[in-house]
Amino acid sequence: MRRRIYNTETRVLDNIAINEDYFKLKVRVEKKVFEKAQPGQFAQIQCSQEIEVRKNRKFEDHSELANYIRLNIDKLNESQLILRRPICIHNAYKEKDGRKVTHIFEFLIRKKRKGTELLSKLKHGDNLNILAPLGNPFGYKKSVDEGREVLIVAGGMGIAPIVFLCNKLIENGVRPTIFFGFEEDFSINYHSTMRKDLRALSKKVHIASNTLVEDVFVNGFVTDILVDHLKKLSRKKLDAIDIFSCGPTPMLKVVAAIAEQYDVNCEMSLEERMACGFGACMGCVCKTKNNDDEKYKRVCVEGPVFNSKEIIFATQS
Amino acid sequence: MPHKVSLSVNLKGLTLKNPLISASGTFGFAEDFQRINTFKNEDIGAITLKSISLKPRMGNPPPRIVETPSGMLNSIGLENPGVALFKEKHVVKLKKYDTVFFGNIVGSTIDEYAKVAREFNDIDAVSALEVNISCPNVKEGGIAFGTDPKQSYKVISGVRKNTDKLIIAKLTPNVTDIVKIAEACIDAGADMVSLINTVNAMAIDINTRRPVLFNNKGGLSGPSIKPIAIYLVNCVYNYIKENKLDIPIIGMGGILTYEDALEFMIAGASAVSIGTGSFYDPFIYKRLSKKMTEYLRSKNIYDINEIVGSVEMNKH
Repeated sequence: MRRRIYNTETRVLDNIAINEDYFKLKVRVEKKVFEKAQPGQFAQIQCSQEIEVRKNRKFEDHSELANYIRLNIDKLNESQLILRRPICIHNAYKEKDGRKVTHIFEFLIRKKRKGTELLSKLKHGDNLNILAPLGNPFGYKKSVDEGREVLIVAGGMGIAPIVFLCNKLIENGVRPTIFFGFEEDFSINYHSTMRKDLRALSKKVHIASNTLVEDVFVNGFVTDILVDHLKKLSRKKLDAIDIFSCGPTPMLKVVAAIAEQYDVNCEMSLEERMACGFGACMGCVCKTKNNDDEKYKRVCVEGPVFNSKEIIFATQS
Repeated sequence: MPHKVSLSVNLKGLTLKNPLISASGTFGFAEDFQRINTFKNEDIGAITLKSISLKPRMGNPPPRIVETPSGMLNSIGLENPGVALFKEKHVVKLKKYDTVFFGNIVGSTIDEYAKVAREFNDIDAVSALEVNISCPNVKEGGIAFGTDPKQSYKVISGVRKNTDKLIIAKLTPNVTDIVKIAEACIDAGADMVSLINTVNAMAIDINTRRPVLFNNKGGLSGPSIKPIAIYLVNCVYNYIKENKLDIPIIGMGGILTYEDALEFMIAGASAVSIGTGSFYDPFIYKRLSKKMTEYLRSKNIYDINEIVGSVEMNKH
């Protein structure tokens, strides 16, 4: 059964600049969208000059807003960004104020070019259209049901979907061990926004970085500390491990090789340029294998989370 | 009482409830948009399915997509399961939807086009075959046929001999004179023409100094190509009108708003296709139907067909 997708209007509650490059966007979503979202899934965020059209207008409810959008969508500037930006759900949680419950998605975003630049300028009260939730989530439910040991391996911005994943694991009584690698430019991000959270959400956070952090850290790659951990474990313990990983492709490639070497179950979230985000255009594929059968699968539907055994990483750099 | 406005168009005996068509390759096999809450395939006048070849095609390696100013490049490379698997797995689902379906066929040889066309004969859900002689993203076939009038003629007449369904020839803008290609397709038995396919284009990463797309080049779509498409639709329309031919044009290229769709129809298109715009707003079909109705009502036009080809050229 394919999951249902919502084309939904969200309201910006907060947009926090972490530093010049990173920001955290907090939006209110409808309950039904919130309840469908699973860790590893993403949203296709509309980011065009339409954002300007919607700025700072107050709407009573979603239908009033939807109506307004329908009436004004044709005022779009002719030169604009057409494609949405696929951004993973960084966190999803409820805020309670008396009897009022607000359903929240958080997106951790790096400013790259015009689209993410526009998103970084959104302010409290602005409206934002998203398609969500999209994609195949991490298979964490199996880890919970079978009482398996969870290892998280993340690199840099690859931490983005992990916070939501850890929250869901904790909710279900599983405390993961986190291996997190990042370079110097990311360290402020780690210190200011997630150090405390990650510690609270895990058994232990192992850091690999080329920059000094307060935690005990290894000056090297996250994959090195993962190997150090795995090589101490018995076959029986390795068989009971699920690795969930997200990060830059070179890192994922090494993680996949390690998982194969130690014969450990491993799922990883991939990134690819997307157009539609829900399977229609075939734009965002990765090469996969099933025995000898090689084929492209859509990162937006069959992914972004794949079993590492399936993925054929490109040899070309 | 506001008067009743009709958006219904007739394409060679085939009635569409509105003139909005989903463009091939942007709507899969009509299964994906349907997953979006409240989306209805039935809101679309006709759905053009993704290109089908005789054998499965793997498509090009990624990256296949890059956004460019007011548009995007793609080089999917005609990934499809092949006609046999398409018939086995996807055709049965089409019957669920009360709308019109167009197949889209492609081949590496003239013979392959004919064979795929024949395979569609027992698919009742498909009313017309769009013949893709204009895909810019594969080595052989596709655009190689669509840039040469003689080759275009051969492909279309081969398909004509093998199908009783309506034939739509899909034309490329990557030629000096699109009218010559249209003429060849019409002579060979095409019932309609659709234009334009994507425009040859490239984007380069200035840091790596490599093209962004794996395939190096791709096809440009989106609002950036709209004025090119409007011009070419009008060129083909003038040819059809001068020769008193009964050949409807399906216009496409960068439609995002109802004004865009109307512009195509005024230029001479009997119906229009939408692709890239539906990635921005999946509900574009419903939105444009409503807006076009409002426009017609405000101009006291009862029937949308009245505006087709209604452009008046400036006289000098």
